[in-house]
Amino acid sequence: MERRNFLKYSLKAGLLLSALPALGRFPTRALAYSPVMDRFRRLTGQSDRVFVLIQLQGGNDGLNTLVPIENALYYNARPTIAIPKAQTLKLTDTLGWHPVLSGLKALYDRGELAIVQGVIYPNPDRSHFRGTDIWVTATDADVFLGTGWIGRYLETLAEDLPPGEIPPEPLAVQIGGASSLLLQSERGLMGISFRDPREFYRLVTQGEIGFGGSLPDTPAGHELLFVRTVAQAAQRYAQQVRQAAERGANRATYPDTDLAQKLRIVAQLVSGGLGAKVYVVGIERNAFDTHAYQGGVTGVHASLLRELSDALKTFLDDVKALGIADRIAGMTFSEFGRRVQENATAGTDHGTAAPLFVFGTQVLGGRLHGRDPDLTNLDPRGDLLMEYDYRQVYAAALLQWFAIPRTQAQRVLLREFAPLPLFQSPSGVEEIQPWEFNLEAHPNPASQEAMIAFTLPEAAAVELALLDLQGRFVSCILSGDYSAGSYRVPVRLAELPSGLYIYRLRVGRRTVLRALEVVR
Amino acid sequence: MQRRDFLTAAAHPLRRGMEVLQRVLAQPPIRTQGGLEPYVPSSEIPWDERSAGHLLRRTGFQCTKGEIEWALSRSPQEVVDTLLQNLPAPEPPDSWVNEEPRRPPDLALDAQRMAELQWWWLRLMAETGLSLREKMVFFWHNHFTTDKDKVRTPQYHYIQHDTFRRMVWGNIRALTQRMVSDPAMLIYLDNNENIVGNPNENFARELLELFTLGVGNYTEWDVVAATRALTGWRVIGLRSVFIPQRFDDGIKTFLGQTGPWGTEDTIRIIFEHPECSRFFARKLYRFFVYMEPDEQIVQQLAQQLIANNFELKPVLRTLLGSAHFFAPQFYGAQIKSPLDFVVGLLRQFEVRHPEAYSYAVRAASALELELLNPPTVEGWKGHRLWITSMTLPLRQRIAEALIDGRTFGGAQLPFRVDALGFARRFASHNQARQFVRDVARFLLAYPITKEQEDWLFAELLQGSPEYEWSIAAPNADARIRLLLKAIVRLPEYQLT
Repeated sequence: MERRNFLKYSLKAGLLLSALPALGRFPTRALAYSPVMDRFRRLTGQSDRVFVLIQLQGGNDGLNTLVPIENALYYNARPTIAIPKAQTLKLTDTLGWHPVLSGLKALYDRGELAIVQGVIYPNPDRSHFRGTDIWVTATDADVFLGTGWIGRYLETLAEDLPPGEIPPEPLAVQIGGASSLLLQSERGLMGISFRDPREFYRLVTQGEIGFGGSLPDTPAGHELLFVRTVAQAAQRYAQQVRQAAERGANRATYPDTDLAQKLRIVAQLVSGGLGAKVYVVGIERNAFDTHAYQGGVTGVHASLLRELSDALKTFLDDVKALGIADRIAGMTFSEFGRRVQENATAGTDHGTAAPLFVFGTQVLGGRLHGRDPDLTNLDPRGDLLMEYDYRQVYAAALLQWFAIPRTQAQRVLLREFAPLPLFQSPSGVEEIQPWEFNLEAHPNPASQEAMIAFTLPEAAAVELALLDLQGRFVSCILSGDYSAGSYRVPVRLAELPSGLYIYRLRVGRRTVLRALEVVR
Repeated sequence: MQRRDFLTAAAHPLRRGMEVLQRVLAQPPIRTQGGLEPYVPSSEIPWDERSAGHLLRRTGFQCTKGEIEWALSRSPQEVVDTLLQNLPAPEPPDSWVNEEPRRPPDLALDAQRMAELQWWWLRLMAETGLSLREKMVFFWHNHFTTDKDKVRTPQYHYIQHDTFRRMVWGNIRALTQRMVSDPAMLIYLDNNENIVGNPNENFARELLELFTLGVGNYTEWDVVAATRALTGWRVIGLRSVFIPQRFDDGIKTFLGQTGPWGTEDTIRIIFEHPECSRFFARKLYRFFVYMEPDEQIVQQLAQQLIANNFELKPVLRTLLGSAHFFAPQFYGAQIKSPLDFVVGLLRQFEVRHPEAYSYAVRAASALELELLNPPTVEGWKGHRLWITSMTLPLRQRIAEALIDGRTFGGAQLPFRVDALGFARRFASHNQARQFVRDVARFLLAYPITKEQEDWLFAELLQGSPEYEWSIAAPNADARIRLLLKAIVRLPEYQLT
């Protein structure tokens, strides 16, 4: 039995194609406004912005990350692990970076990093698991939810897909780590996870799988549907991931740490044109849970901070060199900070509010939100009070970075939160102007070859690609830095089956899509 | 539960993210079919390969063809009693388990011994046969967690595992109390460093949150009180000792009771809390029956735990022999853990080889379950989290490797499935169509469709006519392997 008979590609393809014959006769320009293209745009994402989440598992000690260098209470509370003022790197008159954070300091100083102090939520939970669940589900401390905020956001991009159908491209990629609640939506997992793109491809593309038919509404039927969906996603996405990895590159040398290598893969896949909107990486295994002998200027915590700082600095250097920096932003998060008072074993117990970092060239960087931690006004357990709700950062990511409508952001975050000013406006969503870049294909319809023409008003990084109607990559027509001027690029169509295709021009952060019909 | 009702889950204070996480695809309807009364075979739910297979798959790491046949020659209750028989303790992996820890430690030697311990335990899982014991030992390992990154002395892991095996379905309260002074636990959760005047609340918090009550059933002040009450223990050599000078003998108020509490009182007070029995009952339910607990059944199990003074064995006998457990809606409704998967392959295909056990340890690790090394103190969350776009194809490749005796990278393995021997266990081995059906029914907990059966049939015959099929045919061995590989690649093979 043919695998295609099992995989129900046909449903969605049918849905799109049924509307197409009429559209095919329209001038291509009009196509940009059609409902079909609208649906397609939402699938491939009008915005090609990417968000990177870096999870610091275990609860990062905020006070030893950004050190309150003028606060005697800090030095009294931490006789063995405090960071001496003289060793810190200058941030403000009252705050110093941990000495290993030269990378983050450099990013901050050049405006590519923002700091938000005192982030947590009301009635903080000091359990790793519950705390992490709250952060990834974006819920209040007493609400239990089975979907993640990223999963809910990505679900809005796929809302036109029939149930059980998976998006044409992976919407999120997790590098390493077990699959996460963060990417769960009511449609199931909204992403894939792997450690290495090539290994992933080798693993997946072996042997045919005999998928069965429809499933009963029983517990076992539901589990089977879940396994099948994962199997189909792996099969469909493995090829895309490998192609992206092959097309992609790195232009910086990353440190040989776990986090750095994960971020290297992110840069490689984004530069290779993978359509994922969100990447999730992290320092795993509760590494930041420094109950004992956490060290000060050196030691366990210092080396974790160094891993973060060096990896992030290299990553941003790399994506700048690759010319994709404007499309990438991200944030760090950790389930909680740690107690002000060090414990008897030269470590710190679970605490509450802590700083987090928002990074990227399009971040309103070099800014520090929030006051210095107030060590005189602690909660009954001796923990820091909240300055900002973590969802104010999420709201900024949704509203400013992904530029989704306010009502939709409210649905993703379950209610409204005032966003912090963290990302450059206007967002990456550009209205498609049909005349933009004078993008046009001749002839259209075409059979053997078409000529795609476009005009650049100024020098820019350009990528021109051919996609099929499911948004899958067919070929890269050109890619690179081009100076201002008019271009005509031939595209060979002889090997393609007849049908409708999409050509996609990316100029810097702008994306324009057009249809091209191939006839035989 | 309607999926739009998810917010009301907050009404159940014990529902942790882990449980609600599983509710991702719309909730299937759970009809309560049968309660805890004994399962009596009927025409509707006969004692056959499906029901007996369900019992053996859930209580062991899958099962052999012979075990199912044996079970069918007995009554369900007799089989449950067999599964719960006390077995003699196995020989320890080596005499080093009694060696005093070296100071400073010999890291290379310890790493080697840790690997020996993993291998030894995996072999027990594969070879213990019809018994619940090894699966239950794993239940405790995943409950009272310890990892080899933090606890680097293999002797301590052995001591803890010996305790699990000896107290495996004994008294839960006694086991919990034992864990307070267990050397591996003292080190893992820092209670070794929890001293009067210098509290370390790591263990006390996890004891309440993850080991006995669950979030929402105690306050931060109970954590503080329990931390003080649990002071005084210290690991010395291979044992732990109670040192009165390190103990905080002051008055504490813990879960509403005030006194100069120590370890024993702490455990007593916890087990008097009404949530404690429900906490264990729910965890047992999720482990043996289904990830979404039926709260009515959980409540009845909890009452039985209390009625039996927290003796586990009678409660397990009730649950595993109950009409509820045998409701067909649960057959195949769990996702195999990496151990169910890997050890299950060894057992279903009866591969017994020392190298196969090492391979299985590595394979389970690659599938995100390394024995003695849970990712966090919460253990492996399991269920759907086992299956990702990475681990699912890896599972398929691992199973194929075992069948072919060759890794997917091409390396030869010193063992493989005896395909003809496996086929001969099926009376239908020379009737191709029936053989495919019988093999699929044995290997899968979930029935395949007619289309899938046709596809498997085609895999076996490879284009030759059906009447030519015989396991004496020259290519039979290779074709049986093709059939088996096609079956283990099915999404259905992930279910148990």
